Amino acid sequence: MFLYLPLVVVVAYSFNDSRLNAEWVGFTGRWYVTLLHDEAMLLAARNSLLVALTASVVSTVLGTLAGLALYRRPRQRVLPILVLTPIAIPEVLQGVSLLIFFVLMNVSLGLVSIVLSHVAFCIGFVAVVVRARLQGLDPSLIEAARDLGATPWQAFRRVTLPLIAPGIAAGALLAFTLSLDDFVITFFTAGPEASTLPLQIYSMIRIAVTPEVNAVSTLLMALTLALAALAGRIAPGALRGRA
Amino acid sequence: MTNLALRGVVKRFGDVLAVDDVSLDVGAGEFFTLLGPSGCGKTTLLRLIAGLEQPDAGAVLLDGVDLVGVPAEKRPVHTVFQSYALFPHLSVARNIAFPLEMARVPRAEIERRVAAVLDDVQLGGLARRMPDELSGGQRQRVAIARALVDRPRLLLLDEPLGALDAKLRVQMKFELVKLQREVGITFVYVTHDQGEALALSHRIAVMNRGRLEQVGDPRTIYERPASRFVADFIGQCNLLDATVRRIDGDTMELEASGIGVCAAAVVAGAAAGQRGTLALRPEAIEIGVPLVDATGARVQRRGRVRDALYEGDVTFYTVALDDGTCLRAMQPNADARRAGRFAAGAEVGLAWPSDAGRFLCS
Amino acid sequence: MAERRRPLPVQLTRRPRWHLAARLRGWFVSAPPVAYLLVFFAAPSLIMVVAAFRVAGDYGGLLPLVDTDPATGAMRWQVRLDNWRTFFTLEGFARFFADPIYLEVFARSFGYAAITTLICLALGYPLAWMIARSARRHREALILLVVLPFWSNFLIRAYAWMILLGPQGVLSRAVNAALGWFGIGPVQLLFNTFAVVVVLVYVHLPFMVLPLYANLEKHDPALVDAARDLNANAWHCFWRVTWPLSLPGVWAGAALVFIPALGMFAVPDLVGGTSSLMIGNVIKQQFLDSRDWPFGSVLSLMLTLAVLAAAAAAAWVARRGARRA
Repeated sequence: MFLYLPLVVVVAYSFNDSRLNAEWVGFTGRWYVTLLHDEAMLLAARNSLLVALTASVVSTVLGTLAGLALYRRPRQRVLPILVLTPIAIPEVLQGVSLLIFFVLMNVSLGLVSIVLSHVAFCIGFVAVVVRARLQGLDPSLIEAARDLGATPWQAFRRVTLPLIAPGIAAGALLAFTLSLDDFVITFFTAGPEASTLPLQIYSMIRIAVTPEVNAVSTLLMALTLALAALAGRIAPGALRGRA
Repeated sequence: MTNLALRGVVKRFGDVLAVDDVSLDVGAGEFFTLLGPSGCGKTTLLRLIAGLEQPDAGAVLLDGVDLVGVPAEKRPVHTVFQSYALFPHLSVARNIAFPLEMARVPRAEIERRVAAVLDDVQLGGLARRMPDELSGGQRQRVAIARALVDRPRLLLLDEPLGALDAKLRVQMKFELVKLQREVGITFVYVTHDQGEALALSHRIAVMNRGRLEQVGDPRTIYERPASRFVADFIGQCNLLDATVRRIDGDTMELEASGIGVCAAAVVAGAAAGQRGTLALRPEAIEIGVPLVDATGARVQRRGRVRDALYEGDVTFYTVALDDGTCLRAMQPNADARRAGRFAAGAEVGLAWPSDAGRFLCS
Repeated sequence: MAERRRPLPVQLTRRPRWHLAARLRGWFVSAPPVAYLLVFFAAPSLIMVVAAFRVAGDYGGLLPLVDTDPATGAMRWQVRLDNWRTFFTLEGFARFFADPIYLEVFARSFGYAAITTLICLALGYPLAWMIARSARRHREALILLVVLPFWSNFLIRAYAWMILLGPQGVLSRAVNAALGWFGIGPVQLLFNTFAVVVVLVYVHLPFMVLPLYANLEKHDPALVDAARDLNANAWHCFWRVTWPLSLPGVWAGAALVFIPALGMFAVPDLVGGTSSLMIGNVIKQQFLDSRDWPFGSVLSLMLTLAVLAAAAAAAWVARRGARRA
């Protein structure tokens, strides 16, 4: 299908023994080898993983709280606006405003600023997934727990939490992937030195296109595929919760 | 000795008055049923007793202590929910152990008591199963076991038989009665099925639109309904507008629409000239009798059969009187084989004992 | 079976305290995310709005309002009542409206976003419809298939199209070969409007498909059966029954495509030519290249207003449609 053609091409060309993305010359894995020796790329990859890990943990915690709050008080207006707007607006605006903000607050631009920015927009996604999961819960289960002697906190810990755990996990995976992939916001808040994988890929594409890019892309795709499969295992249908 | 007492309980949801000044007493060890159509407030009342809602006014007294303001988890009252609400992520044994864990009972004792109660409800070997592996009847027993395991003072049941098929329902009715008599705990049972209520309860409270219509034991409720609503809701009943003409010692003379003047049982509080309803149960009307001289002890009329509904064990006849008013009469088919069956259009005589007709003041 | 009976609760709390506890819990749960977002989302946005009114600093950025006194190290306000005009100005706005190029870029961005939305709708609706109609067990798998490309990096997707559309790319050569038969000269498929729109559509298609699918899946098949029973042909069945019911999904999808597309900058940057700049690109230039932050903020503010207008329009139409239906 139309959707897959471009990706297949990239994968295919990553094995192409040629500098140009034109003809099929021969099958080789040497671009992957070059990749492994590319210092800048490795650093960027390490940064990306670090950032994604931190950002996903923080935004999962905050996002779960937000999802709970959205579920419990659906008529309130402040929280939904704060949480859901970052998902819908163009990333350019967020990136730019965060840039100004960090500079004014004298926060140096680097990995920290990247993490902080990522969390801001990941909270919304996690919250939506968690809220969808909560809405699928039978409310009489909580009542039954209370009726049988559980305090609200105990009911939450022993009944609600185990039952929404798949949703939380799906949200965490979603946040991780979004953070790993993010380009626009990172672009503005990274500053001159820090680099993440998407940024690295971007400069490679702009400046000097080598099939290394294809190789990186293939690897990244494989990683996201694996994550998606994992998410599918844990919480089928949670992906749809976003829309 | 009263176990549960409600005094002037009121509950509103927005504009809707769900529970309107309800007061009642439930004795210890009683099987007490709240009966009424949907929306009458019975489930709300149950939730008020459980502590899942708080009343806007009034008191809920358990053994003399007012529970208003006490949250559900602190009340020694447990509920069996209509959907059973079994925790899907816990096994049967863990489900049942839940209230004991909340009360911090030591582990060893928890296991002992869970095993004991599983035996009581005859689910001995299923301790490790998960709720979604059980049948409806089994789930219900787990729900009951879970609610009983830590000996609450009161057990509340919200239409627990609703989700079961007919045969299972009949079986569970027997079992519930047996269980309650054995365990001796007060049951407060909510249902809209009057057959269930009559079969299971020591006493019934009939509710309509948030108010109590009548409270009494099954026989009283059935044979001596206090209002038109109760007469209509419980079993089948012929209801005719009537006016009191005269009260004569232990009989009343009524003028009822369609029937004209007839005798009926005396009801306390009725006065001459009062308007109300004549309630007559179909099973009290004999159909196809030869009309003999009226003795006063029976009311007799003539009519034409409109239709007959054969239902296996009984037949319901709709008989039209001279002015068009219809009466429903029920005849057990065992009798009918002797007395003959009547087809539409047949002219028949009807008779009933005069004290079978009750005058209702509303 | 005599067991120890549970003791009755001794202390009775009055109703207000019980409700208060529930309220406090609610606040406690929502406080952390609210706090975080206020700091890292609301505040920056407000600052950006204010920045639109400020003046650029000497080396770019913003002319600082506060300064540190080199002698004492204390912070002191540069702004005073008499010199506030040096710090705040409407010049950015004037420039925006005066120079036609900016409005042109805006218009172009709107155009691209609109075309993208329409094409996504045209492609996405049948796709969503097919999936919603297919056998239940296939649906999850099919949706996963559609969403999966979305999970790969956005840059990679753009890059993949660069390969395909480049002069040596498969698609390019195929198209040119076909056109060659008609004697039409070779066309360039990359670095122009065409490429931008293609990639925009490709990137945003899942955003259109998902809400549409979520909506279509919930349609009761009995409704269409009822329509057919009442002598409606296939077209009418669709137009009078399915389409109106799917409108909320259509609007949701359109909003999810139009708004982000409006603010795109990476796509035109990579696959567009000099004549296909979008507003996102200009904003980026102002902030990172020319370092004219106030003006960049002005542009961002304009973009924000545009986005809000689009969102409000979508909501209004959706509400009107709901009322009419």
